Amino acid sequence: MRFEDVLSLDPAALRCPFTGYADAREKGVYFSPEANAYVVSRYADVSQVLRDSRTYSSSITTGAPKPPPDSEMAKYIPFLLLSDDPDHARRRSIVNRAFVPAKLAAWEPLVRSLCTQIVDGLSGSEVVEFIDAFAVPLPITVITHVLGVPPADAGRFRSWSDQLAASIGAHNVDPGEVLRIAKEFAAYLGPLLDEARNREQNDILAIIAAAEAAGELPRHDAARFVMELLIAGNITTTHHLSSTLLMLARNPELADRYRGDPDTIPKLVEESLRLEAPIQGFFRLATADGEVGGVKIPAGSRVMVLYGSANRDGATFDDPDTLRPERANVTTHLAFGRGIHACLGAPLARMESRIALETLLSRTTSIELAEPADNVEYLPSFVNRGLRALPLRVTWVRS
Amino acid sequence: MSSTEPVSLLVAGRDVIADDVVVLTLRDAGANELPEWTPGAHIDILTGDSMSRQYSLCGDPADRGAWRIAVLRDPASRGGSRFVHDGLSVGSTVGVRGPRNHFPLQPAERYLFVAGGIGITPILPMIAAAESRGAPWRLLYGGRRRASMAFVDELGRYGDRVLIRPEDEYGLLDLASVLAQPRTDTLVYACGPEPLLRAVEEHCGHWPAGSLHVERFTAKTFDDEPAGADTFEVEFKRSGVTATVPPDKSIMEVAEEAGIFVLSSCMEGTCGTCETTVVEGEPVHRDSILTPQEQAAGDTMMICVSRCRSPRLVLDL
Ligand code: HEM
Ligand code: FES
Repeated sequence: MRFEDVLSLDPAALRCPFTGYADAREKGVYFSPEANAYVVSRYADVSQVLRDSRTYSSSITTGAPKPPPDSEMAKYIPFLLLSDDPDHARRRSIVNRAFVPAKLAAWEPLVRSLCTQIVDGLSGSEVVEFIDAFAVPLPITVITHVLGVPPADAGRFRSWSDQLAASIGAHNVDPGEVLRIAKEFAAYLGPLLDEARNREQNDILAIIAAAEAAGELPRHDAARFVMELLIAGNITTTHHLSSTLLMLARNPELADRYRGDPDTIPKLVEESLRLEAPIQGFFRLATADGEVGGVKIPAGSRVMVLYGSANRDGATFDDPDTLRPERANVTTHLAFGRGIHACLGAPLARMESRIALETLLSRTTSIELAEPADNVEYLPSFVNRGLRALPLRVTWVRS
Repeated sequence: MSSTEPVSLLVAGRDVIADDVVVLTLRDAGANELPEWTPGAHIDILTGDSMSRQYSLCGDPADRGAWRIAVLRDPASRGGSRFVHDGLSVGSTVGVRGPRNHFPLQPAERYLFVAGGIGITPILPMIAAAESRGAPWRLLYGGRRRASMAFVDELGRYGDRVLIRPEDEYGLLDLASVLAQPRTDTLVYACGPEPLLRAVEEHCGHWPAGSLHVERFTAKTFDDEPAGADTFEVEFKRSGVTATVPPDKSIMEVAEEAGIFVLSSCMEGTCGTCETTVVEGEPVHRDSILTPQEQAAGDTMMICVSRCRSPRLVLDL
C-alpha cells in the first residue's frame, strides 16, 4: 500500500495506514502530488521539521490554505496552532503556565469524580457504546471546568467543536459553514469574557479576560483563543481513549495485567499514543529553502509531517509495531508533536487518560468487543485517527 | 487599546545610521495622526510573505505625526530585515499593525537600562521618559564595534549617564559591577541578544523579585556551548539511580537511558511538561518558562534543556 491510499480515505487504508507509512519511510522525504506536499515520515526528519519553526511555518498546520490576512476568516482561525514566533511565543505564554502538570494536578480530584460518575451511570448496562457514553463526555466536561465556562453548555460546545474539528483532514469542506459556526461560537463567548473580567478565580477564561483587559488581546482574539482551547483537546482525547479501549478489548490479558498493576498505567497511555496517535499528521509551510533527510525543500512548499509514521519508525523504536509499554523511550513518541507547538494540553490529556483507565479497569472484570473486530471503522480523515463507534461488552464489578 | 488591523503607512525617511542599521520614518499617507504609544511599544511590520516582524518604536511618543524604527540587517533572517533593508525606500508603503506594548516602563524612583546592539531601540524612549519624569537613570550600552552601534551620537547629550561599551574596546559588558548592589528603588530594563539577557537575568538573581524587565521576542535560543555544559553527576533520588550527564546529552536522555519514566513534549524548554523538583545542586536554567525569580530560587527545573553548575545534582525522580 502507498501513503497516497490513506489520503484517498479508502476505508481499509484508514483502518491500517501503517503499511502506507512504512512505504513512505522507505522512500524518505518525497514530493507527493496527491498531498501537494513533501511527505516527511521518518522520526528524525519529522523531529527536525517540528523543531525548526523558523524555516517551517505553522500557518497551514491543519492543511487548509492561509486565509488572506484581511479576510473575515483570518479572525477566526486557531490562535496558537497556526501562529509563528514571535506572536506564538507571546500568545502561548499567556496560558502556558496554567497547563503544566504541577498546576493541573489540582484538577485530578474533579477528573476522578467525573470518571466515577460516568461509570456509575453505565454499570447497569452490559453493552456500552464507549464513545458516546464515555470518550466524548469526559474531555469536554473536564475542559469546561478547567477553562471556567459553564459545564451545562457542554452540549453546545460539543456540536460546534465536532463540526469545526471534522473539517480538518477531510475533503469537501465548506469554508462558509466553518465560518458560520466559528462566528456563532465567538458570539456566545463574548458575554462570558465580559463576566470573567470581574471574577476572582484564576481559571483560564479569567486569565484570557485579564490579558484582554490589559490591551494585549482584542475581543476577537480572546474569543478565538478560548474557542481553540475548548476544541483542541476534545476529539483528540476522545480518539485516544477509544483507541486505547479497543486495544484492551482485543487483548484481555493486557487489561488484566493493568488491573493488577495500575501504577504502570501511564506507560500504557504513552504506548497507546505512540501506536495510535490521534493526530496522524499535520502540515508546515517552508518559508525558506531547506533540506530534510537529504532532500531539498524549496521555499513556499507545503510539508506534511507524519507523527503516526515517526512513531513506528524502527530506527527509533525497536519492534515498532508491537505494544511494549516497558520500552525505555516510551515517552519520546511524537503524538503530541515536538518543539514550540508541542501540545499545550498534553499534561491534561495524559492525566485524563490515566484516571479514566484506572477507573474503568478497577470497576470491571472484563471488557470485550461487542461486535466482530473486523467491523471497526475509522472516521474519514487522514489527520484525525478515530473510531466511528466502539460497542463494548462489559462485566462490571458488583458493588 | 491598540489597533490590530493592519494599516498602510508611508516610508517618509530612510537613513543608514550605523553599520547595517537603517532607520525608517513612517507617516500616514494622508498626514493623519498615528495612534498613541508609550515607551517600550512595538509595531508589526508586514513583510510581504504574510508574516510580520516586530520592531520597537524608538522615536518620540509626543510626535503623533511620525513613527521611527531602527532595523538591523540580520544575515540569518528569514526575510524580515531583508525586506526592510532591500525592499523599502522613501515613498514605499508598508503594512503595519499595532502599536502594542509588552515592555511598558513602570514607575520607579530610579532606572538602570541595559542595551545590547539593536536592543537599544525600546530603551531610547524609556530614557527620554525617565528624563522628563526627573527620575535618575543610567544606561549601559554594549555592541560589537562602535561603528555598529546605533544612536551613539544621539545619546551623547546625556553625558556620563550613558556608558557606551563596544566589545572590541572594552570586552563584554561589566554587568557584575552595575548589578552588584541590589536596590529596592530601582527597576532594571534590558533588551538585547539572548546571551546578554540571560547574563542580566543571572546577575539580577539577588535583586528583589520584579526588579528586572526584559524584552524577549521569541523563545530563548542557546549557543552550542553554554555555561554549564560540562559533565556532572545526577542522582534520581526516588528511583535510587545515579548516572553521569555528559556535555552532549540532556538530563532527560540520561533519565530515559536509566529506564526512568519522565514525561516530555517539546524537548526544548518551552512547554513545561518535564518540570522536575530539584533536591540538591545548582541548576543552570535554559528553559523559557520559569521567571527569573523562579530560576534563581532553583526549586524546579526543565530537564529537557537545563543543566547543572555544581558537580552533583539530585532530582526528585
Ligand atoms: C490525546 C490527546 C491529544 C493529542 C494526541 C494532541 C495532539 C496535539 C498535537 C500533535 C499538537 C501539535 C500540533 C503541531 O505540531 O503543530 C497539539 C497542539 C495543541 N493542543 Fe493538543 N492534543 C491532545 C489533547 C489536547 C488537550 C486536552 C488540549 C486542551 C487544551 C489540547 C490543546 C492543544 C493546543 C492549544 C495546541 C496548540 C499548541 C501550540 O500551537 O502552541 N490538546 N496537540
Ligand atoms: S519537555 Fe517541554 S519543557 Fe521539557
